[in-house]
Amino acid sequence: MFHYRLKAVVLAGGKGERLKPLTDCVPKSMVRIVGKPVIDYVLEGLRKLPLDEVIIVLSHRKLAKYVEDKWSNIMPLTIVYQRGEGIESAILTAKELLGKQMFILAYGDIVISPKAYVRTLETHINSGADASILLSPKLDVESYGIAYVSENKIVNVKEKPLPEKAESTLAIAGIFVLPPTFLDYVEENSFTDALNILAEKTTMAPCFWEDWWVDIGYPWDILKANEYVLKDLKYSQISSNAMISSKAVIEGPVIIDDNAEINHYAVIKGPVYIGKNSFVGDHCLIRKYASVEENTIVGAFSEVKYSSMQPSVTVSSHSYVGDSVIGEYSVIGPHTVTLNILPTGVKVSRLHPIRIRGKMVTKLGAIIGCNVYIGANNVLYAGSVVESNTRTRPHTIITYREAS
Amino acid sequence: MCGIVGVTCLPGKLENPAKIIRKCLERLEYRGYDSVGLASIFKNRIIVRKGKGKIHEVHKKLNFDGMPGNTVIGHTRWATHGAPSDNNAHPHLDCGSMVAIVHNGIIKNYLELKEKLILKGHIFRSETDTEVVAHLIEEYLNEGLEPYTAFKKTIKEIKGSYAIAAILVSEPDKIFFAKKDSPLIIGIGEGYNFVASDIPAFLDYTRKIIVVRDYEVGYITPTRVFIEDLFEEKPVDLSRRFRIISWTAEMAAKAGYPHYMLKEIHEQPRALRETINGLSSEIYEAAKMVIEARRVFIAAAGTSFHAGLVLDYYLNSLAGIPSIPLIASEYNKYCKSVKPGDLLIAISQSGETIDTLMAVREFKKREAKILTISNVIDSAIPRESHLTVYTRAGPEIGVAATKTFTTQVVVELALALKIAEEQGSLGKNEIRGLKAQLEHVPKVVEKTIMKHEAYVNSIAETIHLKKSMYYLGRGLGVPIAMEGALKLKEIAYIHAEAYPAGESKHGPIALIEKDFPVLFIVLSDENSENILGNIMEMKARNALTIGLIPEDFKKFEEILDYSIKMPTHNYILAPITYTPILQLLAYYTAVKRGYDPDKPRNLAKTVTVE
Repeated sequence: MFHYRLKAVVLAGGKGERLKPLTDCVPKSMVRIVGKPVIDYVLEGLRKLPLDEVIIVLSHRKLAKYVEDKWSNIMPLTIVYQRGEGIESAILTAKELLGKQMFILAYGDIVISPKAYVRTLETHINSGADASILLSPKLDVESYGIAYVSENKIVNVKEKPLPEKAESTLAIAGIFVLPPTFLDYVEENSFTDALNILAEKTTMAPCFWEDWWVDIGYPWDILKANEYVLKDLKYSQISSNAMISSKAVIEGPVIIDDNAEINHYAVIKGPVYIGKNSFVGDHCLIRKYASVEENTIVGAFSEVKYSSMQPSVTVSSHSYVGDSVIGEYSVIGPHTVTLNILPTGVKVSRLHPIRIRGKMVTKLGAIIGCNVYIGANNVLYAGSVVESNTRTRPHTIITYREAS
Repeated sequence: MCGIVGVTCLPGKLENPAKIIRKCLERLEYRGYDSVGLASIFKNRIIVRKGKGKIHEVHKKLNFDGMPGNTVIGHTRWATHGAPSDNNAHPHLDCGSMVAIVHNGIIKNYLELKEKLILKGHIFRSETDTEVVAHLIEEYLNEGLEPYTAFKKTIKEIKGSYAIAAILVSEPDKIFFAKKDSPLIIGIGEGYNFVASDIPAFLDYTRKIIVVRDYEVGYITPTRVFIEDLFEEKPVDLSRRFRIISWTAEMAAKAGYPHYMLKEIHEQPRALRETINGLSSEIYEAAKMVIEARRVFIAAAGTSFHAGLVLDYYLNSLAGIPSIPLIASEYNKYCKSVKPGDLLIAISQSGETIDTLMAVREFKKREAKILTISNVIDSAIPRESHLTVYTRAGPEIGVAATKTFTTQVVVELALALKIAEEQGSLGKNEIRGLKAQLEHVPKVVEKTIMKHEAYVNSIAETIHLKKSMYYLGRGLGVPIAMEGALKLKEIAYIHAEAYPAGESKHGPIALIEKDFPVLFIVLSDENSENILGNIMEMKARNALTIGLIPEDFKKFEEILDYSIKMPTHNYILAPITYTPILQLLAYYTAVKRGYDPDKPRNLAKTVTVE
C-alpha cells in the first residue's frame, strides 16, 4: 500500500496536570480505557503504518516498562526520556534520532480509530503536500490547537483561541506528517509558531476526520472515550474463563474478560466492559458505558452508570456511582452515593449540557484520586474532586469543588 | 441509471487494462452501485466476471484485476428492469458468447424483440432489457452481416434511451458504441481509447475527450475513433469535437476527505468564486430572454427544483417578473397552456435529468424558448436549449447535491440583478450593494463553514436518533428549509418535512410532542416577527428548537435551544450562506447513524429514468 518507510515519534511525557488527581499514581498515557492504557490506542494505530522506528518520548518509568514489555516485540521501539518541559522539548528530545527525513508525529494521549493514522499518511502522500495534519471539528476551541483551512490548505494554526475570537472549529487531532525542517523551526519557536512557519513557507494539507476521537486531557474525557469505544462494539466478547451466574441478566454488547465473576441477579446493560479478575456482586446494576477495569470489586446491590473504575477499585455494597471516575486502589464505603447533575450555570471545560426529558442538564459525578478511602454513607456532590490518599469518615458530605 | 466504461489498447500500452476498468468503475459508482461486471476479449474468447454488490465487494470475490485482454468493458448498475442479481448484472452475452454488451438506459421495445428472438431459438439468461441487444447482434451476425453493420442494424431496431458499448470476438481490438438520451464520452489516449458514461471515469489516463451526441454510432480502436450519424451514415468530422478537460484527477478524488460530500461542501467557496468569475455575456442574453418572454416557467427536479423556487423568489422580488415554478415530472399539467413567446427556464446539474429533458422537449414543441442552467457542458438539456448559462462547480460525485445548488443560486441572483438593472425595478445603489455582497459571498461561506462545523456536528449528535424533523421558514426561507429537509432525508434517512412556518397551525403542529426537533430558517427580512411567533408556538409544546439566525438577533438566541449565528448580510444571499450549514447537519447526522453519505440507498446521482 505504501512505498514509504519512515519514523514516528510519540509524545507521551509530561505530568498530566489537568488529569489530576488520577495522574498521581499513573502517567497520563497509562490511564485505562476499556481494558487498555491510552498508549495502546496510539501504538495500535501506528502499527498500521510502514515504520522503521517508533520513538516514544516519555517521563515515567512505569510507562517505559509497560511499553517495553508489551510492544517491543511487535514494533521497532526506541524509548527516550524527555529532556525539559513542554511539547517543544519533547520533540527536540527525539531530534537526533529522527534524522533528515519526513516523519510522523503522534500525541500519546489520543484515543481514535487506527484508521485515522492510515488516512493521515495516505492523504499526505496523495496530496503531494510538504506537511499534513489530521483535523476534526470540536466545540471547545479554547482547549485545542485550531487550524483554519482555505482552498484545501491549512492557512494558519492557533493554540487554544478564545471561543469568541476563533475563526475555525477544526481541532488538531494529534496526528501529523512533518518534514525534517520542522525540527529546526521548533529549536527557535514555540510548537504553534513552528507550524505557522511551515504553513507559510510550504504547503500544509488538512486531513479530515469525521468520526469520534478523544484527547485525554480532563478526567471526564475518560468517560467520553469509554462511551465511544464501547459504542463501536459490534458484538459481545465473553471469556470462557469468566464465571457468570445463570441468574445474571446480560443484554447489549459487553466485553467480559478472563476470570471475571458476575453473581446472581446482577443486571448488566451493555455496552459495558468488565475487566479481568473483577467481581460484580449479587443484585448489582451495571449500566451502559461503564468500564470496570481489572481487579475491581462492585459489591452487592450497587449501581454503576457511565463511570470508569480504574484497576483494583472496590465499591462496597449498596452504593451508586454515576458519571464518575475512580482512581486505582481506591475504596468506596457501603451506602455511598455520587450525585451527578451539576448546578445550572456551572461551566466545565469540554462538558456540554444534554437534553434529558425536555431539560438541558450537565452531568458529572465525582472524580476520585488513587488510594482514596471513602467511608460508609458518604454523599459526594456533583463535580466533587477527592485528592489521592484521602480518607473520609462515615456520613461525610463531600461538597462541590470546582473541577478545573 | 448505470455507468458504462470501456478501453481498448495496443498490447503492453496499458498495464492491466481490467484493473484500469475496475478503477474507472469506482469513479462511476455514483451512477449506480447495486451490481457490477467486466468483460474482456482474450484468445478468441469473451471472459465475463460479474455479480451483485458494490464494486469492492464483488472484486473481493471475483478478482477483476486478474482478467486478461486488451479490450475490456465494464458496467456498474442501478436496477430498472430486473432486480439486482448476479444474472441481471451486465455485461450481457449472446447465446454463443461471441458478443458482450454494457448498456445505460431503458430499451422500451425489448419485450417484443425478446419474444421474436425466443421464437428463433435464442436463450435468455437475465430479466434485463439489455440482453436483447446481444442476441439481436448475434442474429444479424448469423445472417452473415459484417460485425459493425450488424451492430448498427441492431441499434436502429431498438427504441428508448441508451448508451451502449459492445465487444465482439471477431473484432478483438474494437469497442462499438451508440448513444441516445444517456450520456457517453470518448476519451482519447496515445495507443489507447476509452468510452465512458462520464469524464471522471478516465481522468487519470486522458484529458482529451469527445462528447457523443444522440443518434451517433461508431467504434474505437486503440489508435482510431470513428463516429457517424446513425441514419444518414455520414462520418462526423471529429476535429471540431475535441475538448480538453481542465479538471485535475485530484479534483475528482477525495483529497483528504472521508467522503465526497464533505469535500464538496468544503469546496463551495471555490466553486462559488469560479462561477462568479465565469459569468459573462450569457447573463445579458438570458436577461433579455426573460424580459421578452410572455410568461416564465421554471422546471427542475429535486435540489434543482429548490434552486428553481429561489429563482422564482428572485424574479418576483428583485426583477418584478412573475414566474411559474414547476416540478419537471409534472410538466404535462402545465404544458397544455404553453404558447409561442413563453419561456422555460430548465435547471439541471447534470443536464441529463430525464424529467427536465422531457419538459424541455414538450415546451419546445409548443414553441416556447428554453433557457438552461447546468453544470455539465454539452450535456443533453443544454444541447436542446436556446441558451445555457453554466455553473462552474466542477464534477460533483456525492449523490446529494451540495455545491451545485449554491452555484445555481449564484447564477440566478446574477440573472435577476441583470434583469433588475435593465428594467430599473431596483435602485442603482441597491443593485450595486447586492453585487458587492455577491462578490464577497465565497469568503463568507468559507468563514461560516469554518466557524460552525463543530457546533453543527454537536447538533447532529442531538438529532441523529430522532425519527422525524420539521424545517420551517418564511419567504425566501422556505426553499432553504426544503433543501435542508431533502438533504436530511436523502442521506440520513430521517423523515424530514419542510413547509412555510405559517402553515404550522393549519395541521402539522398536531405532530409536535416533547423533544420533536424543529429547525427554523430565520432571515433578516420582513418576516422575522412572524417567525418568532412560530418558534414560540413550538417552544410551548416542548419541541427541540434549532435556528439559523442572523448574528445580531439576540432575542432569538435566548429562546432557541440551539442557535447557529449566521453572518449579517442582505437576506437575499441566504440560500448561498445558510444552505452549507444544513448540508453539514445532514452529513454529520448520516455519519453518526452509520450511513455512507456518498451512496444513499435507492438514489442515483442523475435520474435518467422517468
